[in-house]
Amino acid sequence: MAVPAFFEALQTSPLGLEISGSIWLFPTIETIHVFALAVVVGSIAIVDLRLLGLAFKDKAVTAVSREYLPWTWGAFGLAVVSGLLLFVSRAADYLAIAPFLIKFVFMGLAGLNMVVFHLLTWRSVETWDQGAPASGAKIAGLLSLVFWAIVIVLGRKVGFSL
Amino acid sequence: MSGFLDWVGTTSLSQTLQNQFWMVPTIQAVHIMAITAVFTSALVLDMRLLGVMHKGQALQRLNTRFMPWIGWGVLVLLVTGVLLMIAEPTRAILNPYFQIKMAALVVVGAITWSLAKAVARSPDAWAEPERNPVAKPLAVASLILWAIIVTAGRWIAYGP
Repeated sequence: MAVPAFFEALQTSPLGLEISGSIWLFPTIETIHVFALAVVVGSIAIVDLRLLGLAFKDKAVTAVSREYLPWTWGAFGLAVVSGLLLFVSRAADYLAIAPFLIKFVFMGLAGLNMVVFHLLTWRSVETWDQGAPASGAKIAGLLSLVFWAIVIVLGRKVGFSL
Repeated sequence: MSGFLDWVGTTSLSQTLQNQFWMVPTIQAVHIMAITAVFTSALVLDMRLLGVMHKGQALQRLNTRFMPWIGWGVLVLLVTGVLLMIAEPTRAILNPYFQIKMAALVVVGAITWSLAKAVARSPDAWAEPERNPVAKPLAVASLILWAIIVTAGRWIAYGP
């Protein structure tokens, strides 16, 4: 697949060359990315398990969300920044491999699932906040777990595809 | 040692792991999912000890909830970790990052285990852990050790 020249330029920009040319920068940013993804997926999984009615059943869904979602978003910001820095170092190379592109399809699906859940199911949260969740919440929780697991598998596959 | 490692590389399990191109990345992905479960669980418990998360919730209740994820998660990490070492016997054992990672794992394991035992023995004394003078130092030590484990783990790939 042809990769636009912009990404070739990104890869050979001073920042791109700095990251790919250093012996410690890439592994350090990668390590930060691992911490960030662990907290993103871990905190999302806790909320998903509550939506499925499998964990924290004695706590309201809204209380679990309030406790964990700030961690999700903080860590997600860190994952985006570290991910972008990793991307800049090999931008054109990454865009040419399938696992990288499919990873973002599944992140998009995870985001879409979240948006649909908030626009539809979340509106009636008072009626299922305590105890057994609505079936829409269960479906959203399950889809989220599946999508994020696929994102992790594909993310790891990226490292083997360059 | 290197003779033994070379032999491990010739076993049929090692050969299978090497020849099926999807096996090593898949095992690594399972390893990362287990890191996610273990690291997040440890983070939540340490944040409770520091009085940042789940304020007002007794530590024993959170331990009951999260300790099984740490225990089973570490088991998955050990099994997938051993499989990865069998696939590439010379990659880890002699690597200083791997040795640092294992040393930190033993220490954090001992801290986590003894704290869980102490809390189970006298849950009332730990109901408000932020009032216990050893809670914060233990939480900080645990966070540093888990950070060393994750960092050293990622750096094994770049070690000598």
